[in-house]
Amino acid sequence: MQGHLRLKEGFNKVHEAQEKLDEHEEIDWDFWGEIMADYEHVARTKAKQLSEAIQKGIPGALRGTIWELMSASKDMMLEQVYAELLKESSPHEKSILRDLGRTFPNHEYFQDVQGIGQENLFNVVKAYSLYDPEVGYCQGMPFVVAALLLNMPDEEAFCVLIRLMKSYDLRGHFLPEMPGLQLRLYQFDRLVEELLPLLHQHFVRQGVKSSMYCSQWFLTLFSYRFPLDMVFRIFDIIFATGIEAIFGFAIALLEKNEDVLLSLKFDQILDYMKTGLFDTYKVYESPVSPSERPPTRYRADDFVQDAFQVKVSPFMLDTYAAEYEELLRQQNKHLVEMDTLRNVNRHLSAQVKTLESSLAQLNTEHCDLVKQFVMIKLEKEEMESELVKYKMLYAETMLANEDARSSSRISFLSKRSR
Amino acid sequence: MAESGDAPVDKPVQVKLVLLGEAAVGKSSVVMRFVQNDFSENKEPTIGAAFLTQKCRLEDRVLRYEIWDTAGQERFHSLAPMYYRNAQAAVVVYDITKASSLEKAKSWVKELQRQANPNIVIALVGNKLDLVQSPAAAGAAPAGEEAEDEEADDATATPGEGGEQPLPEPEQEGESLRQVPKDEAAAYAQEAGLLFAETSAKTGEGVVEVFTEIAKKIPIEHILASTRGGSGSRAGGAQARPNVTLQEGQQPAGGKACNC
Repeated sequence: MQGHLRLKEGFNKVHEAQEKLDEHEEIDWDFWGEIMADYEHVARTKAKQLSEAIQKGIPGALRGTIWELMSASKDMMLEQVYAELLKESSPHEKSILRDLGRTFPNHEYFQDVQGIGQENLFNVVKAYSLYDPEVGYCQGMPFVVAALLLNMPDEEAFCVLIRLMKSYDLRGHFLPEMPGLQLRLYQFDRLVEELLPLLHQHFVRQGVKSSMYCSQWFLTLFSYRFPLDMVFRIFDIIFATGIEAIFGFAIALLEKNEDVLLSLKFDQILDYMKTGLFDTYKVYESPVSPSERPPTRYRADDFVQDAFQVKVSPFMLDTYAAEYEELLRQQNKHLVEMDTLRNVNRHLSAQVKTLESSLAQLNTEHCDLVKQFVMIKLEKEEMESELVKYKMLYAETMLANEDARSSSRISFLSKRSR
Repeated sequence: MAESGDAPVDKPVQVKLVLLGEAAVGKSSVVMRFVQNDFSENKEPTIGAAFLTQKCRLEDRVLRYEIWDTAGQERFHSLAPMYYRNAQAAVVVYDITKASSLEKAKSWVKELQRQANPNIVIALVGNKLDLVQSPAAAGAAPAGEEAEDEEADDATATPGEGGEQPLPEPEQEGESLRQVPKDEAAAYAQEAGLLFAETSAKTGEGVVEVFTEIAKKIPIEHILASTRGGSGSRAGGAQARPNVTLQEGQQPAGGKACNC
């Protein structure tokens, strides 16, 4: 409630200042005032009007506040947590520091190494890495945070980031293995196939996969290198309708450039995705003076309109998500199968090994036995020959004995006859 | 990609090349130097991957590198196989001022040798050479703390020079940032059968040479044969990999250098 009051105060100030500044822009300040006063009520009772107003673009000065209202991010407790986290140090600090100067390197606010922009960026990203250690730090995240910081103070950006991660399901994009991103890429592929069949065909033939150009769109919510005024409009719609809004914008970009893309080859397509996509929305103004070129402007309203024309229904997305789940299940089943087979195989191999070793043992035992057998046989033969020898000896002795007896008998007889 | 058929001899030979390495070692900067001969100090980190092409002339042949520049953060690792699966060449980059980045490079090399095309030509590249080569002017700068440290090591300092501390040589001062000795990385590269070079994407030193050396080692006939056949056939016999070490100055500038 307290936060609400503060917001309202802020609105009044902005409103006054703004009214003096630009009269040419047609902004329905009364309606935006109503929104600021009681967002919930307006969202309930004037949903259509609200959605139309957001499609036309949230006034820049109110943008941050409205984002906070739409995502219901105001949370004093969380801001307290943020303040506490700032005192801690994160294991990801080195990686975060390394990327600070590499986030929006061409934006004045983030250019100074000592500047408030990089400091805030570091603080929010570091605090988040501590707040959600499972996600920790992931490249791409600072771009989202930077877009927030250009519209609100750091502690509020921290709270909105947490909403984006949790309620808007951005967290899955940044988790290890990036399951959320993989799902979105699959859904996007199917959407292209369904809504832009010709282009889909062309991409398949050229070997262009959505992950080759789309990962950075989805991971940074298009803030990676696209014109900021377009990026903020995308954020407007994401906060209002949910993360699925990214599909509308992505498809719109392809659709708007379909003819060009169909005429390009693989490498030209990828190049064009990086640099050429927004050209169709460029406003070509004749320079006011020859020396001064006006800054590039884009027809952001048309872009948002085009994105809203894209027919992406929740039903389609759910169907594709279910397909993807099934695909994952199949893949998993396959993996599990492979795993069990591998296990069985390992088990069998082990068995073969034990069998082999016992066979080897049996073989050596067999060998030993054979050797013993041979030895015994040899012994036996030896004994037999010995036996024969003894028998012979015995026979000889017997013979000698006989001889001796007979000769003595003869002599006895001859003595008697004498 | 989809092109096939009998290519005339002077038609460029397509070579798929992938860049791998730890985050912020300068992969994208090396490619940018090679492709556009340009350098920018603060580049956005590569999210997902980026694709670039560049032609390279080698004697009578023209090669066309199709380069996949990948994201370095570990979290994007699961996306990498898609980019190196069909690659014929890989440049694995580390940062010579960061020891841990060589370890990461080694693990990439291992993964490539296990999972990628068996004929893949791999170059190990130590980037950020400019950081250890302080310009001559730095030698005259007042000696900082690092210089004092150097002094302590220098036990053989001649006592005859009076109280005046000899200024450290500019090279030494710069070298103190170096964490990966060149010999160590070169020895590893030799052992693992990789091309090796140290480069500076910032000054451009050694960058083009890496790609020319790769071009020399690519089995061009093999690629031509496989593209003619329509499918990337996997000739089993691993190509003999002579251990080549790139050295600055070893190569004549011009002539064989890439036309970029």
